[in-house]
Amino acid sequence: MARARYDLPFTSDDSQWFVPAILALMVFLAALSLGGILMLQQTIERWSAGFSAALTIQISPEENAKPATSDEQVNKALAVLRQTPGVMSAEAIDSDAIARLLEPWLGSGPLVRDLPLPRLIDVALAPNAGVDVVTLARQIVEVAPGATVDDHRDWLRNLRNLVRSVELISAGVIVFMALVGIGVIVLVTRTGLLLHRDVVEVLHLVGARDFYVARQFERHVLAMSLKGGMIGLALAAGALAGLDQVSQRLAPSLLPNLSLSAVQWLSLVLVPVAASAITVATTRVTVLRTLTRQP
Amino acid sequence: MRPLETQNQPIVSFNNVGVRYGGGPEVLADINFSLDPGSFHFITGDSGAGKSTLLKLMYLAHRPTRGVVSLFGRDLAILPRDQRPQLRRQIGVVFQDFRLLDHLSALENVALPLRVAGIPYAQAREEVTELLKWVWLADRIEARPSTLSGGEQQRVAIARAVINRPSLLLADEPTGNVDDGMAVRLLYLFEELNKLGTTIVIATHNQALVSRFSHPQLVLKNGTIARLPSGTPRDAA
Repeated sequence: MARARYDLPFTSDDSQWFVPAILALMVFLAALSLGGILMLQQTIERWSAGFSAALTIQISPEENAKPATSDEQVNKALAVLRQTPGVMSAEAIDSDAIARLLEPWLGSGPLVRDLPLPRLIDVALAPNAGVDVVTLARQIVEVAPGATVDDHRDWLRNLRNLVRSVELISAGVIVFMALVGIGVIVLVTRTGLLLHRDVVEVLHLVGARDFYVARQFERHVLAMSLKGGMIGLALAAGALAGLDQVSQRLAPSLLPNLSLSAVQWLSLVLVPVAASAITVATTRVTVLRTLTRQP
Repeated sequence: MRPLETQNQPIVSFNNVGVRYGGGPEVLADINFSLDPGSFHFITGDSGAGKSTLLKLMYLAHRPTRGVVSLFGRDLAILPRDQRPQLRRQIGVVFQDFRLLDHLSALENVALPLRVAGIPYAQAREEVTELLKWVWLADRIEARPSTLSGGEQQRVAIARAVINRPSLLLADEPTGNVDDGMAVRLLYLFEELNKLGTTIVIATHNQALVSRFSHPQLVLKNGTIARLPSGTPRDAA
């Protein structure tokens, strides 16, 4: 006959399915939240890296100005840029390319050609070049009045603030779920102690320490929580992978890349591990505190 | 840690002990006696006389409402909680209702005191098997308590009580579920343990059985000691 795993008859109570179910739900939601945070962080890092080494110069057409004037201003601006240390490249975006960019909103009819569209210069900076954008903007405006230099800082700052807010909310959700989980485990453990009080009393009477009884509960809860945690993680991984697939199919040019790196996927594995650790610690403290109150 | 058993001092000592449940009357009152190490005593009395309550005080399942209970020279009222398990491991108890764990086999039930003391199961198995043979249960080692007869359960309970060679063995009506022949055999078994140095206290209302042995009796009546055996000190202080 197989040896009983526990001195307490846990297989006869509802914790057998209740704890895994609760843990699966907790881990699923926590892993989704963490996955969301990681995706946002990755996106903001990619955007920051891309935009911190780039400038966009916009030269608005002057009223009633000839196209030749606009071309002249672009060439003068390019000349200034190419003489500036730290500028790796400066390329004027031609009118056709600008028209193609606007095509989703304005269509491709002849009307677009007649619109006074601004001229754009895409500037790539050397990494850590320390280009003084304010001085550069002044020099550009001298040769091309009405030009604006956009280093995307305001946009990135606002985006970062938005991402921070979403991260804080997600972290709050994770903490809230952990607190709810702790509350549930406390109740389950107390119920277990009540349900098995006769057996616990026998264990005490044959010389068991409170730690021995607590260890029985811990082992049982660890097995249950790992089982539930793995189910929750599998569900969350499926949901995140599905979200990535859907986002790529939907509009790859508009939506950021939501793929997680291998390290980030591995960090999600820590969620059920952390949830199990919290569950075991909660069980231990609950058992010991409850038993200490007994005679 | 102080040694649990000290020479020349009582193994059990009750001093002016009283017990009441809730706000009810005292079920034990003015209990004064002490038991020497290696002694063999019967506690007798009618049902409701307080025999089980007296034993519960001795195996630390209850606290007295008043008075002092000492075991192995330790005052239980001031014994720290973390030292109670060590004391309990020196006490074997045969409960009236056996209190076997239904989800464990006879072998695992008997091995329980060893397991809680940290002895690995593989190491305990041989010893437990030997003991189960000693109580005539060699062929029922893997049986669950629910499949055992009352007498077999009783013997499993006795085996569990003595597996860690306790200094003090307390038995509450240990022959209540067996026929007279088996009852006498069990009593002889307790005598063997007593010869090995274990202090034995048996609570029973079976006067016929008690009279077949020459061990002293402590008679309880309505929660008080009606008669102490000669030579048993009444004042434990």
